[in-house]
Amino acid sequence: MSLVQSAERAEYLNLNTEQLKQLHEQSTRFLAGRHYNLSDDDRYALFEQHFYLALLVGDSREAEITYQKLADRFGEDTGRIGKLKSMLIDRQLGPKDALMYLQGRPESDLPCWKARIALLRDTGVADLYISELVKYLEVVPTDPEAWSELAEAYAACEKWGDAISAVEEVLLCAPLAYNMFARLGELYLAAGDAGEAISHFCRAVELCPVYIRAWCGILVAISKHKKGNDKLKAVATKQLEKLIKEKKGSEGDIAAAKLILA
Amino acid sequence: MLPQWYSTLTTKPVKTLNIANPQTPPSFGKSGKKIVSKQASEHEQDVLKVKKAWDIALAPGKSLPMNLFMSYMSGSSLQIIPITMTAMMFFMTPLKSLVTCHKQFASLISPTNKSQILMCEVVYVLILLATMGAGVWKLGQMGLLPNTRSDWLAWETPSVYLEVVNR
Repeated sequence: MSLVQSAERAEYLNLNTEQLKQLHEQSTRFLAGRHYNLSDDDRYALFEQHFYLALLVGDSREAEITYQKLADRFGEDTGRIGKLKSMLIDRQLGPKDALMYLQGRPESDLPCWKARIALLRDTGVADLYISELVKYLEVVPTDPEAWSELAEAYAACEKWGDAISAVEEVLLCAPLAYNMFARLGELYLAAGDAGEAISHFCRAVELCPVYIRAWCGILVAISKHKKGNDKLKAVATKQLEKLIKEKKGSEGDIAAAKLILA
Repeated sequence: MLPQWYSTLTTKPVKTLNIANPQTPPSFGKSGKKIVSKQASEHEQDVLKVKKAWDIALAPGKSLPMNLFMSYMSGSSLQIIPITMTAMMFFMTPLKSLVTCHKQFASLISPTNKSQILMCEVVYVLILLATMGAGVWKLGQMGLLPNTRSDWLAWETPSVYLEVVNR
């Protein structure tokens, strides 16, 4: 995997421990060299990635050095740098201090506001967490990440209607996000509306025909639906068996599909 | 390891956050109001069209003072820049507008406002002619008009001398 590509797509967030270690090593080795032929954009993106990698592998000393390089170049007033600083404080001194630091940032600093909300969730003030998210979304209504956070928060306190409305907002920002359609189906299923759930799962597999999660959702929703739908059930079963046979999907997904089919 | 969605699908949901009445999401439950715009009546449309027609008619008049000032400042010497400027500003543009005159107003004409639009057209043509008149004045300033006696020497009859003194 190329370092620049991983930095662009934030691929380091989806790696397992072994891969992460490897990428961190690669990044350390590369950034120790001269890398003259990189553009400024790429170079600092790599430094930022290296910061996250250092935090992920638990090397806060190295993270601090990398942070210092970025702060020297961009200054601490920038929101993005402020967010990095808060993460560093979180690691070195704990979430309380990070929260204190973020509260000192100006209100117009959106990345820091978002980081503060995330910390609120972790420190356990759920009520405040939801109301802060709502306040944030009043200002930035086009942030799908925040909407989906809000949806999960509502789902956690079983406010299905609110959660569904929040996921619908995500879909307004990203109308082809098949995983969000599957999530919407799951929420409808939890709310007890199997018919709606089926139609949203179907939209998900229409957008991504190899999406095991949505196919399983269809099967579960049909079994809970009053009328049932034998034709759709047959199609879903056939497709899932095919996907299992061809091993299209992660191991966990395939194992879950086998359990659902059984 | 089984993914999280498997447990969401197969087990009953568990309440992990215990909040009785969390704040509802922004714009939740408010049905959007449908805004219906009023259809403009025939008469109002006519008024608008006539207003638009007057705008078109008076447009060349607005640039006339500027053009006059520019030609005054550019002097009356015979050089390529003042000559092309005069030709473009005072003759080419108005001529083009004259040719397409009716086309500009055609879309605004309706059976009820025909006379008013026609009035606009007449004013438009008059202003264009005035612009070209200014151009003629400018040409006169530059001495390009054949309006002096010396411009027509070919038609002058030579003087006939009654007496000639030879030395």
